[in-house]
Amino acid sequence: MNYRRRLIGLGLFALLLVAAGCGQQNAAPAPAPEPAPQTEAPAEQPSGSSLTKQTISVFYSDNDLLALQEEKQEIAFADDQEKYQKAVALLEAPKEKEKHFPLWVDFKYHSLSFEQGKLTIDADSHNVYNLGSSGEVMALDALKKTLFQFPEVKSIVILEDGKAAESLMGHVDIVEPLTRDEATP
Amino acid sequence: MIRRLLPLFVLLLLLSIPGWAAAADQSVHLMIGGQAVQPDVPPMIEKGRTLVPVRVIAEGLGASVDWDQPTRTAVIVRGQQKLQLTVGSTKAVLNGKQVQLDTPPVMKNQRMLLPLRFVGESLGVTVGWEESTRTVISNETPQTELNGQKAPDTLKFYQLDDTYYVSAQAVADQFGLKDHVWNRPERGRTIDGKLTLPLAQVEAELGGTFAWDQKKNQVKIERLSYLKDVAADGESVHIETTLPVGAEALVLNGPHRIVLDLPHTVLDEDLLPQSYGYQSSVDKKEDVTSESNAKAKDEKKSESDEPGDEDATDDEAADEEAASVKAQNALIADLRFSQYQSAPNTVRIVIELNQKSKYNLTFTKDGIEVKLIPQPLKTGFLIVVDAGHGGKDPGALGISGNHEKDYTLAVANKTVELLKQYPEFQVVPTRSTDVFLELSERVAIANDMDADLFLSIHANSFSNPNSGGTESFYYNANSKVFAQVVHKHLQGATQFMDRGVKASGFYVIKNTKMPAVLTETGFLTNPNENSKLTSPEFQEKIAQALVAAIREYYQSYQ
Repeated sequence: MNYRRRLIGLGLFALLLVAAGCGQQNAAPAPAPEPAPQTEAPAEQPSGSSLTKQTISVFYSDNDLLALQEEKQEIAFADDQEKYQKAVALLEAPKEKEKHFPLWVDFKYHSLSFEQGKLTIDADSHNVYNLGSSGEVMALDALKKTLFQFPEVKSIVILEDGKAAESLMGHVDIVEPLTRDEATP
Repeated sequence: MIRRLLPLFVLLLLLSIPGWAAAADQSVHLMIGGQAVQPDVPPMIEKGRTLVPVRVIAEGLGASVDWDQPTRTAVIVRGQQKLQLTVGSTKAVLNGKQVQLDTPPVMKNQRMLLPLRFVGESLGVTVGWEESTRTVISNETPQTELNGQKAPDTLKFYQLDDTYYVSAQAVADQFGLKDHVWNRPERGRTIDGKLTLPLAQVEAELGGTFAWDQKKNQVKIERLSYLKDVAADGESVHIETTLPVGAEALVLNGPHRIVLDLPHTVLDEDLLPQSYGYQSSVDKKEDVTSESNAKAKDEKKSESDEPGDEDATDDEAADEEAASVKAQNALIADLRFSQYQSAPNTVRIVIELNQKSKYNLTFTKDGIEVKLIPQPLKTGFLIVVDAGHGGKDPGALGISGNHEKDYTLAVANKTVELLKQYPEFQVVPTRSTDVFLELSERVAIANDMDADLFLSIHANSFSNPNSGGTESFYYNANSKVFAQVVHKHLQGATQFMDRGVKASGFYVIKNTKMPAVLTETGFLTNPNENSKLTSPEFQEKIAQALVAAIREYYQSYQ
């Protein structure tokens, strides 16, 4: 009895698998599918020579968290997307490590996208910034000055895990997009 | 055991026959004017749009269709509407104007297939999709009347067989019944992802009458609720209506008022003589003149067909004011109601309060229960002490692994305790435990209570361990003096480097209305400063300095 029951169970299971498989194959297309968002075809990996080189300004703190310091650095990129990513990455890496202190350290983000003048950075909510109020203001200023040197960038939106966030570090609100005309507080 | 399993076996076998399942899944059904239609070329779905043969449009929607072979263009005329569509083109012409299609008409088996929803809606026909049966439902859009006026277009009507259905929540919304829970949703169909119920079912659940005149193709909804009673009871207000209605409350200040507008509601005859503004249709001291409701309502108000004359004298108005004597000790100072609008009928209820209150609304089958939650009264010079960060937001990290949120809470709690010793002060902490608060919540605590001062306590951090010092921030002009006084005392207590008083738009000091300061006592990343900041004696000294600053400000500048 026990043995038979087990056999039947096995048989049923097999049938279920068949049925499930069929169901998948025959799954009807959703009647109102959204057309898959057309992601821009990634530029084919260009050879080193086809990269654009540009000298940009990147901003850091002085050694006492009092004023931003500008540093010229060179980046090479295939497209604008990479240009922004490299600029953001350089915010962590000053050349003059004795004089210039990065305001962004281990900054992780899920995505960085640019559309119609708006640069959206979807930050990882697990980032630990370890800055006080003055540091947060300077960090956002450094980000703004570094990215707004590209004339096409009109505003910066910072999200956390895809959602609007009130503040990154608990002092400055980032609900509104950061814009060029905003006077540095 | 085996016998019981057998039917299941058979069922599973059936399901596993691929052709059978495929046929059931793929086909698209068509129901036009309540009748199932089976065109010789079956409808097809292209990019989420249903395409059907021209003949279906012609016969099903009662339109005439002319086909011009050379230009491959169909001209569809129905009543006053004329629509021109071309095979393969996303450009169409509706009544002489060019419009854009998202799916172009196609040719299949020598038949032109047209996008049904687009054509239908262009010709005044309602089109819906029922996912569960894969059926396209289409019928003439009826004329509608809701309590004597045209119903809004959010109400969609569908005919399935002989039953007329309406989008259920859209109807409930008209009566303010947000998120209405229907008793018998299983009697409905889900069309375009929304529950639609037979008119008779909606009528049974909501009351009133929901009638469909098939000949005239007219839907008439009569559902007026009558306000039977409004009564105050301590911290509650009972609003009794003959049918359930919902209402959104509006909060006004000076004096504190909670205003409720009841849609599709009229005053019961018995209540009319007690209603506010009765005998004088132009209500001189009508409540809503301020911000939130200045809309178009004021215009409509004067159309209100209240009995009575326009020439009420000032004397009469004064009498009326005297009549609504305000109970000084009660929470509810006055309770008024009026027929605020007549088209559509809206009753306005105003709860005037002696004390600012929050509220909870409960909607019942007999009306609305308003539960008032009075907010703490301001009894003295009110100081809100804000310990920065907290809960999931630890703030900055100190060099001994200590967290900013613990420092801020310790100093804030000590400051609160010290301030409480002064009877002239009323002290409210934004948090007294390790909890997370949004910046906006911190601001709301201070603004809602009309606080006199706001003090936010923080500690600083930087990657250079040599950096250190005390700094204080303000933003609004009314905060500068307070910031200077606080900084003088704070830096005096820390004896850390003086980083000064600075203006910066941090959320909590930018959005609070009273003088507000954010302090950074010192750097948790500076070994010398951090060892002091983590010492309870030093924290007590900081709290004393902050209290001294508040006392000096209170005595010298208030």
